[in-house]
Order: sequence, then structure tokens, then C-alpha cells
Amino acid sequence: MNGRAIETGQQLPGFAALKDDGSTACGNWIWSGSWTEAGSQAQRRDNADPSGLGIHPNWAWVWPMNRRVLYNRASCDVSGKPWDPSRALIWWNEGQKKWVGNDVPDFKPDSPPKDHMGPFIMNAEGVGRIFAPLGALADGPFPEFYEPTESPVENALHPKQSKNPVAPRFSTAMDKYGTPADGFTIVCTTYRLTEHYHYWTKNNPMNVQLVPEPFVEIPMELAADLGIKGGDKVKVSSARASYQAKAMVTHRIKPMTIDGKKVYQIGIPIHYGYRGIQEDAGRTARSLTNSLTPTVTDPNAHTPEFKGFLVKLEKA
Amino acid sequence: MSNGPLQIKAISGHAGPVPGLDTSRDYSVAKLIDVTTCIGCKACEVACLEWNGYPFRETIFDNTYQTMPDTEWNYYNLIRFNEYVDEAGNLSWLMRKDGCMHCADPGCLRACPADGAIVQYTNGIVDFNQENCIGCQYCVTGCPFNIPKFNPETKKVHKCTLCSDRVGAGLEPACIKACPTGCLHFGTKDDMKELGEKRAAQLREHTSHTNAGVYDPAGVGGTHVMYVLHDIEHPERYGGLPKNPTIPLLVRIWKGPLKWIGNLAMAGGVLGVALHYLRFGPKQEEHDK
Repeated sequence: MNGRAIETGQQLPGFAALKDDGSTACGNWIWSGSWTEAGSQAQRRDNADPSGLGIHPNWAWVWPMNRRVLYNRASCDVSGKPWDPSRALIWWNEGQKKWVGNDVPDFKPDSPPKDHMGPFIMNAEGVGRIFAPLGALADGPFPEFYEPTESPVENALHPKQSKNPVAPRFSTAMDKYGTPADGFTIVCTTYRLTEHYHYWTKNNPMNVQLVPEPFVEIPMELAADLGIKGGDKVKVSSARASYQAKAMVTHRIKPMTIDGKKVYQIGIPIHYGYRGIQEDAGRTARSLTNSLTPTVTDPNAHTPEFKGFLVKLEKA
Repeated sequence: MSNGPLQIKAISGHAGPVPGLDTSRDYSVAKLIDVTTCIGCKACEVACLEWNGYPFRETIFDNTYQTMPDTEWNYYNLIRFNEYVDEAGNLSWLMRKDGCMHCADPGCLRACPADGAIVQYTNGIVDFNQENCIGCQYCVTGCPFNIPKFNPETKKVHKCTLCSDRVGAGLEPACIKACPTGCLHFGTKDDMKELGEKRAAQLREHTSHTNAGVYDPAGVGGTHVMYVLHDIEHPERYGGLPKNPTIPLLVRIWKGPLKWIGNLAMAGGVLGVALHYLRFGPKQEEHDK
């Protein structure tokens, strides 16, 4: 991971020593410098903080190159002097012709301020982005708020374009979306539990003992409205599928007031499915939480929109 | 401390003082449970089962995150989950790792009539020796925390050992090792008390928990398992933690004055028999004629 010279086997001091001619090997450039010839840098335990800024440069190690504050060139003005002299991370030393300071410069070390190299070195333009042109983001140059594909309300900023127009959507029979007008009035979210890991641990008696069955967390008020008691079987339906599990009635999820309307939210842990200790013993329904969720993703990070969608809830 | 580990008194050819000589050592141990940083993951429950070699069991969903209603003879460590809503409607989701408190004045030990079934180590650990247990369950009556649990098959009582087998070998208890948030701490009683008080002061100063405090109840002489609670005035909100736990009066009387009276009665009986013998002599058997 740190990177080494293939011939000699020597650990490299950092990613600057990596070569593109096959003479060095490294698993991941950001970790280069974490385990040098001096040993594990992450195990350093010198808690001295000479600058008094909480930098502790010799306590453990951070990527990349033990820089404590990324883009720290931005803490200086154009001429290379710290904006706030009492909190100086780095500065340009004219005598030495390089950037020096309390932190490791996150910058080309010998690039003088007069060359105007931008501090945000990972962006081509070298500056931070509020306006990101040239198709850098799929949904436009400005940050924008969109409601989820299934939302109980229209977008307050621009109701005519409530949802993200370029969010990838599929067109199979399962890709149907519900609206409050169709009766899908309850917001549903999905999550994981500390006691389980994805879908693996439903096969492990240790984890199954801690949380034996799938459940649906329902606010007190909503449960009272629907006559649902803790432990009752409930059916959750989205436009795509339905899901059955027992109700966990709780104070922890409160009703929301959105646009003057009372909106309920329920929550379902994802961990159960077709096979597992409880499923195989016939003790739980074999339905999958993710059969309810919409297969819509964020157009940039491609994160699926499983945390907010609309459902109906009834006693099963 | 009577018998500590071997301490070197003099070293040949050694410059400087003998390491460790004349240092005072505190061998008392304690567990500090900071409920304010517990996330209820139950890793401690699993670690406890695995270290003690107990089986995993089938549990039933009961409208809660709590694994089961109560601790069992082979399930020493249970996180109790409680939703508390105050007058203003503010919700606290309280999680408390329940288990033996290792009282300095253990009611179980006081109540136990079986020689050697319950021992208290000088480091504060209260331990059950099942081979000496007669299954009378007086310890269950003696405990103000409802901790000892009876195994109906073997007729023996069990509870958390504070991992005396691990601690004796210089390791921390299994639950401490498993805790991912560091809400479980283990060290000397003084250190843990200090750490707990520091944390409670931090909570009082920097959060809305102005009643934060350390639970180390005096009614049982203090405990070797302590809690940092958001509200020390209301321990009962954390799944029935008693505010002022004491050893039940009956146990105290039975094992105190009544025991003395009982002994007196027994001695009196023996004395009476002896006097009767002196006065009337041995009983003459009537032979068949």
C-alpha cells in the first residue's frame, strides 16, 4: 500500500517517489508515505503541538502525505501570507523560495504566489466551485434542490420541475412511481441496524438472536390512527411491491409538518430476504425491503434513492 | 493487598532504583458504563456469550430493540432499551447495559448459606462457584438488582463474573474489549470513579443534562460496576435501576441479629441437653421382659 521500489524492496517516502516506468509498485497513492523505511507512520505517538493549532504533526499519520488540512493554500492571501496570522497553517517563504509552515503544504511546494496557481489543486481551474461548467455535474452548473422521485409535496422552489430531470430511471414493469393522489401518502425510509451486516448476518445465529425478525418502525400517532399495536403484522405497499413484517411502534419517529400538512414517516431495516435462519424456518415473510424502493439514482454519484419514497400502510 | 505478584527488591549490577519498588498499587477493579455514549449495538452481549461459551438462542420480536425481557442464567449481559418522553415532549432513547453490579457489600453473598458458593475477591469482583452452590436461591432474594438467575436443570445459580478468569490473567472483561464506541471502561475503582465524574461534569457543563452523575450507590457500599447517567436523580428510567438499592431487610435481619439469636438458641439447646444428662443421667433402656 505504501509503495516500494521493486528492485531494492525499499519502502518509498511518499507518492512523489512513485514512477510510471514500472520500477515502483503501490496499491493506492493516497496511502503512499504511511509506512516508510522508518516504520509505520500511523503508529507515531508524539502528541506535541508546536503551533498550538491542534495539528499534532507527529501523532499518527493522515493521507495524503500527512497533510492535516486539505487545500491549506487557501488559508493564505494572493501574496502567500496567512489570512489570519494567529492561525497560520502554511505561508510562502521568499528566502527559501518555497511554501513552509505548521502543516504540510497541499500545494506545489515551489510555486511562487506570483504564478497564481490556484489552491484547489484537484480542480482544473484551481479554485473552488459554486458554478461548475463544462458538464462537470450531470444536473447543471449550479447546486440545486430536487424532491425525491416520490415525494409527498411538490418542490417549493420550482413546483413545475419538482424532481431531478436527469436522474437515471429505468422503464421496466417494476419502475412505477406512486403519488399521494394514488393513496401513497406515507414517507418510507430504509436503513441498516448495528446488529446486522447487509444480508449476510441473517444466516448467523449470533446476529439473528439480537434482532430475530424484520420489522417496520411506525410512529405512535400513526399506529393509533390505524389501530396497529406493537407486534401486529403489517403490510407496506409501494407502487412496485408490498412487504410484510411486524410493527414496532415507537416514539422515536415523529410526524412531520410539511407545507402545513401532517406527514408520517415509517422506517424499515433492510436485512431480511429469501434465505436465512428465520426465513428457512418459515418464521418470517420472505419479502425484500428493496422490492419496495424505487430504482432511481442520483445522476452524479449514482447513489440509489432508497432513503425516501412513498408507501401505504395497513394491518396485514 | 496481601499477595501481589513477585516484586523485585534488589537487582545486581543495576544502575538506578528498582522498578516498581515502593509504589502503591490499587488492585481494586471497576467497570464504568457511560450510557450517554452507548449506541445499543449489543456487541457486549455477544462477547459475553462467546467468552462464557453459552449458546445463541431463538428470541422473539417484542416491539423493542431489546434482545429479551430479562437477563438469564446463561445471558449475563443485556442492554435495556427505554423510550422516555419528558413533560415537554422531548424524547430520550435510553440504553443501559444491565448485569451484575459487583457490590462492595454484596447482598447475594450475605444471604448465601452455602460455604464457598459466593466469594468476593479483594479486587472487588463477586463470583459464584457453582460447585458449592446448593440451589437455595437465597442470593436471588438478597440481590437488590435482580441479577442472580437460576438454572432449573442443574439447580445452580449464575451471574456475570466480571470475567474474573480474564481479569485474573491481566485482561479486561470481554464486554469491554468488544465495545466499539468506548462507552465501556475498565480500570481501578478510583480511576473509573474519577473518569466517570469527569464525564458527568462535562455533560453538566456542556449539554442540557444538568443532572448528569455517576451511579455508585452507597446503600450497597458502592459498586464495582458504575454508570454515568444523564440524570442521576432518575435511575429508574433506565429500565428499573433502583435509586437507593439496599440489601432486603429480611436478609439483613436473618443474617444479622437473627443469626446470632439462632446460634444462641442452638448453643442453648446443646447446653440444655448437657445439663439434662448431668441431672438425670443417660436414658435407661427398658428391656423386654
